[in-house]
Amino acid sequence: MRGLLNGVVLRVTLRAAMSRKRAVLFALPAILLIGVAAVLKATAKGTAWPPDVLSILGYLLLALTALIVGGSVLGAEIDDGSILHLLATPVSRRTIVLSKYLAAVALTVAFVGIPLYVASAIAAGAASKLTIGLLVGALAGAVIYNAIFLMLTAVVSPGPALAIGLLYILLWEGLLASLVPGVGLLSADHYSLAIANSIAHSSALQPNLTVGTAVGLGIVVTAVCLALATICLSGFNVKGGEVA
Amino acid sequence: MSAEAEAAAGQPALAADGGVIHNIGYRRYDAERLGRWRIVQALTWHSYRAAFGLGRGGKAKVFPALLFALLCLPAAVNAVALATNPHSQPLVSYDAYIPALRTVTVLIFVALEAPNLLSADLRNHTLPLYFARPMHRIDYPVAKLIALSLAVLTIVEIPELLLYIGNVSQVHGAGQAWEQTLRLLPGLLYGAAWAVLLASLGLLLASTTGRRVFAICATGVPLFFSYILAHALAQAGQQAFGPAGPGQPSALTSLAGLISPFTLLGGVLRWLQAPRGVRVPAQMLQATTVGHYGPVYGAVFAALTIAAVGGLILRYRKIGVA
Repeated sequence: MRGLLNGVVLRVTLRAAMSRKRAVLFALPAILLIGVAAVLKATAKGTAWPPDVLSILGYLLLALTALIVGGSVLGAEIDDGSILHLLATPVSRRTIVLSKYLAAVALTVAFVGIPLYVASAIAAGAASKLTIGLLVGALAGAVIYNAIFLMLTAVVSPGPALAIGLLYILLWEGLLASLVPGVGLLSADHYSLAIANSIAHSSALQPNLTVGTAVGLGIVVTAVCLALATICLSGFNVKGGEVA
Repeated sequence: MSAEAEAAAGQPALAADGGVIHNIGYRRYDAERLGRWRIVQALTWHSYRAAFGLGRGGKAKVFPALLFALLCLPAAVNAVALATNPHSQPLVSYDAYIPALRTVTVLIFVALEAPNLLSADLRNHTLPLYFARPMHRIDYPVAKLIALSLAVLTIVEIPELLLYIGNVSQVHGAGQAWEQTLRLLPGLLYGAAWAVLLASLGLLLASTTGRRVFAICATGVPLFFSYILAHALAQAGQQAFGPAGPGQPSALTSLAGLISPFTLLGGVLRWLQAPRGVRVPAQMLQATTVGHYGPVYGAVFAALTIAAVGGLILRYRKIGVA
C-alpha cells in the first residue's frame, strides 16, 4: 500500500480539523448520546428504548458530523487557497484524496462512532448484539458518508457542497426515505441501518434493503465517489478571480 | 440655502421628515426626500422579494418555487379528490395541513432564505451604509423579520386558501360555506404562529455568521436536529416509562416536544384544540404529545418567540460597524 497514503498530509489534516474553533462542536454528539443513554438507563422502567433512540440519534449525528468533517478536510484548503501548495508537491492526487479521506473517517469515528458505542454499552451492555451492530453500522456509515461529502467538495466548490450535503440529509434521507421505500436503495443512512441490523437483529432498525445489497452498494458508492474526487482534483483549475 | 452654498458648507440637507441626502458634490438632488419609515418600507419589500428569489438570478428562484409547489400539492390533490367524489370528507385539515411535509418544506425555506436576507450585508460590511441613513439600528432587523415572516406566511397560507377554495366549491349552501370559513380562520392564525416563530429563530441563527453557506448550516442543522431529537425522545419516553396514568403519557413524552420549534408549534395546536373537543383524525395532527402540559407549550412558545426577536435585535445593536 506504499504510496497510497501520505503521513504528512494525514497529520496536517488531522491537526487542521482539530485546531479550528468549531472543533468544540465535535464534542456535542458525544455529550448528547452518552448523556441521553445514561439518564434513560438510570430512570427507565422499560428496556425497549435503546435500538430506536440510539439508531435514530446516532446515525443522524453521524451524517451531520461527516458532512462537516468530510466537507472540510479538502474544502477548507480549497477555500483558503492552500490546496495550491499541496498540489504543487510531488504527491499524487490520489494519495492526497485517500489521505484526506482516511483522516475524515478517523475523525468521524472518533467523534460519533466511539461515543455511540459507549452510549450503547451503557444502555444495553458492551458485548450485546445491539452495541456491536450499531458500532459496525456506524463504521460503515462513516466510510460511505465521508466519501460522498468529500467528493462533493471536489466536484462543486466547497460552499455549495455543504448546502447540497445538507439538502441530501434533509430532503432525501429525512423526508423521501420515510415516504418512498425505494429511496432506501440510494441512502447511506439505510446502508448503515442494514449493516447494523444484520448483527443486531432488532425490529426497531428498519432498513429498506438487505444487508448484501447494502454492502455491495456501499462499496460501489464509496469507490465511485473517491474516484470522482481524484479525477476532479486532477483537473483542478486555479481560478484567476481568487488572486485578484 | 442654495445647493452650491450647501456643498460649500458640507452640510447634509435635512428634510422636514428627517430624510437626509449627503451632498458630496457629484450631483444635485432636488426631489422629495423620504424619511425613516419609507426606508424601512423599501428594505422590507426588497427583502420580501429577495426571499423568493425575485430580483435575483434564476438559480435563486428554483428552491422557493419548488418548495411552494410542494406545499400546494396536498391542497390540489384535495380539490381534485373532492371534485371527483363529492361526498367524501376533505383529505387535509386546515389546522395542521400535513405536518411532516410542512415541517420539512418550511425548514428548508427558512434555512435557505434567512441567510440570503442577512449574510451578504454581514459579509460585505454594508451595514454601516444602512445606518448612515436616517434609519435606526432597530429598523434593520425589524424590517428583515417582517419580510421573512411575510414570506413564510405566504408559502404557508396560500396552500390553506387553495384548500379552502377546493372545499368551498364542493359544499352546498351558505351555511356549509360559512362552516368552512370558521374552520379556515384558526388554520390561518396557526400559520401566522409558524411564520413569526420560525422567521425570528431562523434570522437569529443565520445572523451568527456572514458566510452564506455556514449560515445555511447554522440555521438548518439545529432546526432539523432538534426536530429529530424531539421525536426520538418522545418515542423513548413511551418505550422507557410507559403511560404515567390512564390515558396520560409519561412526562418525558409530553415534554420532549418542547425541544424543537416544529413540535412546539404542534404542541400549542394540540393544547388549543383539546378543550373544544374537536375530533381530528390522528394522522392529520402534528405528532406532538402534550399530556396535561399544554399550558407549558403555550408559555414556551411565547417565551421562545420573544427571546428570538429580542436576541435578533440585540445582535444588531452590536454588529456591523467595524
